[in-house]
Amino acid sequence: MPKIRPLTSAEAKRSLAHRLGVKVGDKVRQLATKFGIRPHRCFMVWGKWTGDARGEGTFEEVTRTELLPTPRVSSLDSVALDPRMAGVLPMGTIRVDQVSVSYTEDQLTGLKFAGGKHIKEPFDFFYEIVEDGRGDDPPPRARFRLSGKPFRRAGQVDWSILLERQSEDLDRDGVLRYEGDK
Amino acid sequence: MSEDRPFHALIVGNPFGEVFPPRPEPTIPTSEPRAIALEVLRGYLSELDFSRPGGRRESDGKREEPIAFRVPIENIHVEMPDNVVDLVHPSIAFEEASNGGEHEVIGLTSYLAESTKDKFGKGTVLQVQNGYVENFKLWVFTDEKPMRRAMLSRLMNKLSPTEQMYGIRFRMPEYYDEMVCFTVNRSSRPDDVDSANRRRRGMLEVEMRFNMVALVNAAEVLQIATTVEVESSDEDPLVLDTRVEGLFDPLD
Repeated sequence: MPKIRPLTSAEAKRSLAHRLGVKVGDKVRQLATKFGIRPHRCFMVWGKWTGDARGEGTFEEVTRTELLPTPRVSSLDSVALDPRMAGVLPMGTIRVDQVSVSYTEDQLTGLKFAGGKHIKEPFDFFYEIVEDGRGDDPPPRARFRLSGKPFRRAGQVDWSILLERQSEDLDRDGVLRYEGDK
Repeated sequence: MSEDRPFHALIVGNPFGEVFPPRPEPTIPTSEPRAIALEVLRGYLSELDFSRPGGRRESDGKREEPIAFRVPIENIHVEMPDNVVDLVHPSIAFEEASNGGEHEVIGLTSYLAESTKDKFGKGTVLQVQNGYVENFKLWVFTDEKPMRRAMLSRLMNKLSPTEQMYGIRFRMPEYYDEMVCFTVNRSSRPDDVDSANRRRRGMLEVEMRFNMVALVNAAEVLQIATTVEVESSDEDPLVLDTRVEGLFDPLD
């Protein structure tokens, strides 16, 4: 009988579930992408405003990381088009799961990105869901924020994250523009 | 009585007046004056220049020029838009006061503005019916705080004139050139969960005031003056003896 104790971090990294998740799980999930049943690409976007605070100056994208293999985006139809005083606003929360366990929580929460660099304030971090181009080309972009702590589902060897709809979407060419800017 | 309007015949009295020979109503309005007034404000706001803070130059850290912008008229809404309109930032919307608008009485009855005689059609005049006052909410929708601050500041300035008292006045060409006055009474920046999702709002409570009028047929009253010539005599005044024999004589 094994001794009752926690795994060390080295042992946890070498555990069967973690190794299978990285080496086998990702390859199996890539098949889903290859078969075309993962139409929604998911990106983590880090950016910076050129002024002293968010909203001052202009927004510049620093880096973006696509979650690969393409995760499963479920219930995008739970984003309701909510009528407001000045027009319709998309509101709601979606779940993105089957995210590879090769990502860490710090990356998924935007605390650091590939390369481990740190962005000084006023930084910006958000998720972006974009269709893979099978429909409109270029497709519209939808901005989301992390609305819950990422959940590592060890049994399914994936991460599950909850995202909430946010504004303002980048234009289809990836630039943040405001109507009426001179 | 018109045969196709039997219920008009049930009205007590003649509240809308009549002229002779009878004439049809000079005009039937296609919009309400409240909407016309707010359309004027909408157009004015779409012409305003706003500016939000610029960035900082990486080379020397100095602040760049402020970024100028306007709110396109398509993003300024007098009433709640239909479902085909997306909310984009920045936008402005007018929300009616929770208790609607007050119709203030002017005098005991309506009166005719005689200076408008024949101005909007021969044989017509404007009848001033009451004063309309409403404290509506002017909402500003932005994604970031600096833009909200920039817009509220500019709007408060441009709705508070320097050389007029109590608000800014506009003519309403679509409403008989009547005047409407807008005055800012209150401001707020409500923050809620939506604010963290980059959906921020700012609010100005604005008083709107104008006279409600109607264009009515009018007939001019002709004044006829009669002159009586009286010839005065120098002789003693003539006294007519109206006493009747047998009756009481008060002179006795």
